[in-house]
Amino acid sequence: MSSTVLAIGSVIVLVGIGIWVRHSGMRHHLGNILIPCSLIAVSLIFLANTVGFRSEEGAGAAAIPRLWIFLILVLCGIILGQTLHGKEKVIPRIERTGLLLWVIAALIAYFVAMPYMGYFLSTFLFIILLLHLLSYRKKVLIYLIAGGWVIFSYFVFYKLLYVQLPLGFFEDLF
Amino acid sequence: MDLLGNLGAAFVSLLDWQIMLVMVVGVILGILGGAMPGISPSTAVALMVPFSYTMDAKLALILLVAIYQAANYGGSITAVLINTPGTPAAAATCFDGYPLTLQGKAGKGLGTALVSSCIGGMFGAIVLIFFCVPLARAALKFSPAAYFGLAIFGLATVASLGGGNIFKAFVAVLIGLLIKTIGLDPIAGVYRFTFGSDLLYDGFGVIPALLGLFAMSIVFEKVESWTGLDRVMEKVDSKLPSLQEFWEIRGCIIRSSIIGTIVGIFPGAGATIASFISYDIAKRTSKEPEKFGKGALEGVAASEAANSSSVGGALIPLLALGIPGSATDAVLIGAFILHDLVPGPLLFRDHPGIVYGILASLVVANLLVMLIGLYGNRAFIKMVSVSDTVLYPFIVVVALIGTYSVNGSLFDVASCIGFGILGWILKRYGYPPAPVVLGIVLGKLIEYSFRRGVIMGGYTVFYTDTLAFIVLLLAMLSFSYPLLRAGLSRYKKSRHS
Repeated sequence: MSSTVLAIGSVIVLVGIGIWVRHSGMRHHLGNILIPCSLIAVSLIFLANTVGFRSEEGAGAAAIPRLWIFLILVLCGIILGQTLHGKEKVIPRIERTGLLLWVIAALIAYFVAMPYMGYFLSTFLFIILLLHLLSYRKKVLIYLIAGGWVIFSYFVFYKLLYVQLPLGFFEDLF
Repeated sequence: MDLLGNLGAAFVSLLDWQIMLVMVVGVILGILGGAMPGISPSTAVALMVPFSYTMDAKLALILLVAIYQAANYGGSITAVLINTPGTPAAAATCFDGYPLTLQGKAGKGLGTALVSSCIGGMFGAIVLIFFCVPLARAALKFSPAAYFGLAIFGLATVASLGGGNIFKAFVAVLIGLLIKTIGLDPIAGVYRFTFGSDLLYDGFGVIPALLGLFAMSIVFEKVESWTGLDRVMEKVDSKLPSLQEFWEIRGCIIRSSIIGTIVGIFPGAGATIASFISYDIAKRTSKEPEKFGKGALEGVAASEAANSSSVGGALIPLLALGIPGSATDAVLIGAFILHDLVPGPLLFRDHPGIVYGILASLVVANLLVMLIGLYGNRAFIKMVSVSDTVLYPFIVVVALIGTYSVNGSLFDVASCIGFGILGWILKRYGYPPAPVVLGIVLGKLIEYSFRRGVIMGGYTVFYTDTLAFIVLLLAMLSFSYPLLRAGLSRYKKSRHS
């Protein structure tokens, strides 16, 4: 429960920092500021979690995580200081934001669909979708490539290497 | 006699058709992987690690080491032909390789790269054989505190030699180390950072992290600036350098092989640094330095001999101490873990057949690179011409099926995608992903050594144990040296102005 509260609180603080930076003179360093802030937030959540670990003599379960957390906090503080003092270079904007988001969305959809549609059908559709997104011009070849990979993975991974790929709805057929 | 006897038996065992087949496949895959821009040796090895799971451990490791060795040569193919290094270590090969192609002498460039790579690789393998066995014997006497110090030194040099912002490199290492603490504590048996989810009881697997950070993140990076333009490969004239030309650059090849091996031993230094240092030294010591950058065979030889010999050097700390000397070594540790093996001195004692098999196979792999490179270059050039539009979706599906095939777990697949996104974001903002992998791979060893050291000798053991104290001091120096150098340079600049 407390981790959830801390996580929600951290997200709110990070969003607030993001909005403030976007409207300030440091807006070109939005990523450079948010990354170390996010790492600090995650580290503090982890640190709060270590309070619940059983303590022992000598180095207990919390010793090493706390050491890494402490070092992350210090180094992220230094990185933030470098950014605020203008020592960090501006990261150029993503050129193909739309394409990137579509590719990530396709990947997530592929992962979500796999247990239901099975590996073979979902992969076939995923390869076709990805090749279309990347503007591959040879339409017939797209289907041949996708089909070829599915056949290859069936014989090599499923049959030869006995990798139990998820079959989804088709479980009863095979 | 112990070493030579074991090595002799290992060479004889390589005559088995399965091992030979695996080495040939490994060399072909390595050359192809190394030749494809965007696929580094670490990515090529990482993509094959999950598929080696069903293989015998010795076969699997021989395959992966063959890929590693061959990939360093493979990078020179596109470096020479289209001025695009297939691997970061082949960047220096472009300086003189591509001008040779422009002069219609691509065959000379490729031939020089091939022979230099093979000689360099062979040299590195021989040094590996004669150094790692005595080092492993000495390492058997290391205390847990000394091991902790060595592992920290390894991580510190990786971060400080990696280039870029040293603070970000160290944060990357710490991210990896912190991720490795998720799950069951190896000593106290408590669950850490699972946040009530049983999916995290075993923490994150090494394979999803490897494939996500090395393979998936590259795909996102390429899509980010996607142009869809394909590589255009020149037709290759096949005329190799003459024996006279090879004889004239023999000194450069030998010197570069030595440099590459020594640089490769240092964790984090790796093939890229080795090739640039070697190129620089070759230019300074050449009788005709003005030819460098315009198609000097010495330039190609220096870069390729060094980057190939660094493989043997990097394997010394991995096999003898269990400390990875490069990003690809970190991937190889993942392969060892997958086969329930722990690289380090105990491997020599408990599995000598595997260790000596790896050592012997590295020598043979270099010979195979020479043979396959000589007769297969035209075919490789055709295969490397495959469109990026087809290549990157394949990297995704290969990475995901590889991740799934290890445990049959969709959580691993989700982790791989998550690590891919994490790796892409980190790389974008200057946090290198290789140290994250190293942190994940070494995290357990570091924590276990630290806590065992404290249990055995209290916190003071880290300065009462001489070796532990020395390596921790070296680690601190490794961290502070780039900062001191930057500070000194700023001070000199301010005095000038």
